Amino acid sequence: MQSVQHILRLGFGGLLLSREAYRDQRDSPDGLRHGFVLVMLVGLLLGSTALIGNLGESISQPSSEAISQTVYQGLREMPWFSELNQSDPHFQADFDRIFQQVSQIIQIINGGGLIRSLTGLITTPVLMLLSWILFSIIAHLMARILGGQATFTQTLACTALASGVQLLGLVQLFPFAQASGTMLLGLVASYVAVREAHQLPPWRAFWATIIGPVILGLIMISLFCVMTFLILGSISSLLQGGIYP
Amino acid sequence: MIDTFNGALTLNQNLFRGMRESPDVVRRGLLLVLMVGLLVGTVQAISSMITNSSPERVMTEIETALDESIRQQALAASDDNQRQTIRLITDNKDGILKLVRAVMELPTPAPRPIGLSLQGLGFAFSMPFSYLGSLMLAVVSTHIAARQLGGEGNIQQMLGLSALSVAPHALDALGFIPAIGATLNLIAWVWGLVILVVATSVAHRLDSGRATLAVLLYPLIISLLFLFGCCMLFIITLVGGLQ
Repeated sequence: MQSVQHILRLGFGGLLLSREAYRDQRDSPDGLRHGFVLVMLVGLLLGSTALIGNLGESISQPSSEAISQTVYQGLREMPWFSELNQSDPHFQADFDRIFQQVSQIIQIINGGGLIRSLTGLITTPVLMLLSWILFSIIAHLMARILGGQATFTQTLACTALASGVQLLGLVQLFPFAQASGTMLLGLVASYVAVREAHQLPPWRAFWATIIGPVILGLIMISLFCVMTFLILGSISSLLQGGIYP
Repeated sequence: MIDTFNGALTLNQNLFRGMRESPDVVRRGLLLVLMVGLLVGTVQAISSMITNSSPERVMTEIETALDESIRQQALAASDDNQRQTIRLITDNKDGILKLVRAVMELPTPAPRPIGLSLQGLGFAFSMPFSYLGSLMLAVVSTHIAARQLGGEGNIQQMLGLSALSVAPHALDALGFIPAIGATLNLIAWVWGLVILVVATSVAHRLDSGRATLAVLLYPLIISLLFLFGCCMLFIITLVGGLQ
């Protein structure tokens, strides 16, 4: 219990950008072990609170099937539907097909709700662990190139403290609550971690920190563009081949 | 915390300098953001819960917004396609409203008041994060600019002191008042900007001119780039149209 308290205290030190916390972590012989436990603990807490929050959301909203059925009925009762139905004998079948496919796309984008939250119990700590290691590798290489002195173990120990910022995400315990704006604070915490671990001047620490997220951001933007074009292309081909054959 | 809040609003230099030298400058700043965010979030959540508790009132608001949107689109319509779209929306307006009402009246596993309370709670707890997001953008851009202009402060001092600029946003709690809400928001924004300049000046030991430049530099560059992009797009469209 005392150990958990110590780990959580480390996490809050990271969240509050305490230089002493980062320096202690760098010099501690147990820094890596404590850092690993902190990342896993924060991941597990985040996954659990997201599950509870999603449970609260699901009991205060109608089911997605009921919404889909109501929208379907509502659209069919509108004047535009009758007009097109009278002018085109295939319209109703095409409408049903397109509505079903659009509903499926929306459900895929919205995710599986509670099922996704349940899997999040496992995937959140694992993803946090992977992103911690990946970020540390890139930041360590860049910091060493820029004149940093820390060992890889010290880099890992310090960057683990930056995951303390994710403790703010515990607000997801409340249904409908959004912990926006924590990404930049996380980046700032990572900057402090790299700076304190490698004892670099501010600008060098800045570049060592920023290069990893920039590469990741470019990859994400590319993937997003490809996905958007694919989705828009499939919707467009559906509309052209459906309502207007 | 109240002293910090009052000191921020009155631009108390002693408070700013004291915080700069304090080892828990970030904690004090973030606590202020939390306090203001929860205050504003709670008041706005209660206001929104009162409005949403009556489905009739929500429907009236949606109908008014739809009418206004149709009216504005009709004024801006310049070709037959746009006019046809507006006619389509107008003809189906009753159907759209009936559909919205049907979705709103769908049964939920928990009683409606519980759902509304949970939404209010979520909104109230999200508000500090909304302020934190804007604050972090301002802190990062201003800190980078201040360092380029010769500032000496570190990111902890900059974050803790800049968090004081959230204090005037306690006025946002009165944003639900129709006549004065927008004016109060504007006052809070300008007041916050002044506090941010003072915070930058104290954190980085810069004079007022350089601190103002540090705060405005990147927003101005981004605005100019955006304006330049819009102008280029307009020229390209114009040239394409002429050809």
